[in-house]
Amino acid sequence: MNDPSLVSRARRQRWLRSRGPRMSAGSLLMIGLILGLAGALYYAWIAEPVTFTEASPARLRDTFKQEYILMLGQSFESDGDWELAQERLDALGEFGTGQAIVEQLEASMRDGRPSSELHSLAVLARQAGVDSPVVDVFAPPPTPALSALATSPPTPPVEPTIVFEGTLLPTGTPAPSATPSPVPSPTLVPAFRLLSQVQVCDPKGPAERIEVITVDSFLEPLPGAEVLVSWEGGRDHFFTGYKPELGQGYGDVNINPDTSYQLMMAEGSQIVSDLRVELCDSTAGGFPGGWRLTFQNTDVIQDSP
Amino acid sequence: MTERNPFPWWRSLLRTIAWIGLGALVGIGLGLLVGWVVWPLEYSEADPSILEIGYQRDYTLMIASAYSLDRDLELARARLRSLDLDEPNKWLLTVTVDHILEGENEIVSQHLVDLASVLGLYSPVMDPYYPQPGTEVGG
Repeated sequence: MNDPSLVSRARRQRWLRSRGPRMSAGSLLMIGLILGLAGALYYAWIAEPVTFTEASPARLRDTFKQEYILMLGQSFESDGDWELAQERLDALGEFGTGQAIVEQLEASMRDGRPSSELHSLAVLARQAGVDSPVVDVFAPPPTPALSALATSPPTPPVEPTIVFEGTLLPTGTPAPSATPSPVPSPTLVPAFRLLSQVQVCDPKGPAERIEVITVDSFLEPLPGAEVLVSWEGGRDHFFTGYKPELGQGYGDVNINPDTSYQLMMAEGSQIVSDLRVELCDSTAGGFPGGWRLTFQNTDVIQDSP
Repeated sequence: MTERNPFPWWRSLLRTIAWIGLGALVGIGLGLLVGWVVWPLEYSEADPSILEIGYQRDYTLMIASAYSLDRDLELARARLRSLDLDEPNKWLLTVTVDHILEGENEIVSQHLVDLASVLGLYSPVMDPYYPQPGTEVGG
């Protein structure tokens, strides 16, 4: 009953309980270290982080970087100071490359930003030495045709013709006169007129789309023209020239059967309405077809009075 | 027979606090060193208010040039506000006057004057950039 070993064990346990659990010094130090480290990191990273007040544009949030690049492009477009523009691009670091500008240009195009913004970005990208189809669309390189525009008289007006044949462009369009005439003060009149409207048929299958081809005064392909499309309950827009493999002045939009569409050029043109999918002739395949509209830019050089 | 506790409770507590406190001090020092010096949290998600003063000034020039193209006054105001200045109009006027007095790019000066004027700001140094009586604008 009074086993000495049992009494000794009981005493020992009572003594240990009175002391409480005992941890080694290393464990206590480690607990303190972890607690201190966690608290200090919370304070240094979240509660009171380092504030950069002398930062460069490279530290800006993406949206502000995009804003910065856009304003940079607009500034360059308005003052033409490429050296300054380069300094500003350099300040953006890796975000100030030509490729980054093109990516922003493409994103802006997808977001439906105004064509003036797209033009500014494209001009900047071109100056930065980027060679890209989308840059060609919104900032086309100077062409002989454009320089000829400054010395040649305007194309004689052609009445819009609605043809439902395979002809893309009217064949009877008079060629511009070769007689140069001095133009004291060019005045641009931004507007488009409908040259032709033809049904698009594909003998291999449905062609449910509206194709738009834009040409300049000399019937040369004209890229970068904004086209507005609307239908009941919706609208969209696109630009010509973004599929250069189909032509510099080409653009298209897919359409749904049983929906009537209206279309016009953003810079001004007549509204082409009641565009809908229609069955093509059996000789053209008999599949549902869309429409191909050709618009001519009527930017003409007018003599100053 | 009473047992003698070789470690009284208060002594044990003191020992625990001392070791944990020592660890915490080392941890705090280490944490602040890492958090503020070695590996600070770099904000790459900042707004233009953190820009160095020279960049803020340049940003203002670009705001004016952009306004000259898009004529979007609300956008220009919003861009100025993004600089988080106490007095954005005063800032714009200062930048405009400095830019003119330093004889920098005339085109940009004109843009600054245009924006400042629309916002109702005026300084005599801006006078040459206003259309003179008898002159046709754009002509």
